[in-house]
Amino acid sequence: MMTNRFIFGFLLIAIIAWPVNAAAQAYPVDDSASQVLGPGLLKMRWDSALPKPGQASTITGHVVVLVRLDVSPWRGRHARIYQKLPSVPAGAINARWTSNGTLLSGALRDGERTLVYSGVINSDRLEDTFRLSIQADGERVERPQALAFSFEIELEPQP
Amino acid sequence: MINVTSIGKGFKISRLSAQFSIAMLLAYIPAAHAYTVNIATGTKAAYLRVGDGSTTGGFYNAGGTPVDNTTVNLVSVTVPAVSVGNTVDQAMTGTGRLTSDYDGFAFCAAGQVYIGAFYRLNSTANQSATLRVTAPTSLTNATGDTIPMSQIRWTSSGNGDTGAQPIPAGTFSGGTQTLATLLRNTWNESCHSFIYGNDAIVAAGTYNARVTYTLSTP
Repeated sequence: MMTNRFIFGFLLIAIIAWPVNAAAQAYPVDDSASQVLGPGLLKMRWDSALPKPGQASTITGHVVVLVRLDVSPWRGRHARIYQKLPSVPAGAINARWTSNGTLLSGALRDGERTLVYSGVINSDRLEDTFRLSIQADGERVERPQALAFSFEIELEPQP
Repeated sequence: MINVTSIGKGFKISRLSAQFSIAMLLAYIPAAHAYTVNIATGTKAAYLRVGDGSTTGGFYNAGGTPVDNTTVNLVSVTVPAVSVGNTVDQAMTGTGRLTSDYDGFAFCAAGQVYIGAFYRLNSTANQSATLRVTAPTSLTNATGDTIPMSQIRWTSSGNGDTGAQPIPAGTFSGGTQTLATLLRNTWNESCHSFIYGNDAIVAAGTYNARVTYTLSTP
């Protein structure tokens, strides 16, 4: 019985201590309520009439996204939230966005992540509007590409 | 035996605790989601202008877009009676706008015919478009007299250009002939000066023929 109590006690401590120890670990944020406005396929325009020698022939499109993050599991915690874009086969995807202030404006390339929030989570949901500009290499995007943006959260140690 | 049983029980309880703990942890991590933006490809485009042309929204390098222009331009020469058939080349005079639709530059000189072509492709493949011209075998006057099309040739140049022209000099052969192969995503333009060979004495009259330029993409 002593052994049982010891193990149970250890696990209980582990559960309580877990968020602190897992500060560097990232967890996905539910953004299923987010909404991409506009047509299903984002029209991309060539950035220049002609590609300059040695430069990529880029295309750019603009889209508005209503970002709604369910952060209720971490309410009251200090946290950092990042927006991610996985690597895309067509590659060299650059996304820039402006926000209304709840989340941070920023930029990222495919395969990277960028900070969009740092601080205490004071509500169950974080909402903002992103005005996204997406730029790609027009010669490598030979067919429509699905860019799956996502968010992840890292908890900071309790002060 | 008692000790073994006791250890076994204890182990059971600890496994249950572990399972409960894992369940707690899994419940703490929400399911992953992502908003998805589907991006289209860049627009494929082919552009060909011979003589006059039109764009909307400014020049092409400023975001303008070429539009259809149905004008058929005339290239002509009047040979004095005393010179007919004397084998002295006769410069012909073309019509049509002389400025480039790329940037408005005055690329051609008076009397030349502007020819510009462009092929935009959303691929890294080294594909090219082909510029061809189709001409009848001869020019014809009202009474059915003819002059072989091969009597008409052209030189190629462009204001400010040095080196070879993308759409080079040539001679009509009658039928369809290839003028140039144009690599994707390059703007190509030349100014053609047409010349009548005047190699044979022909009956008086106005001789006409229509030639058609075609840009074909893969």
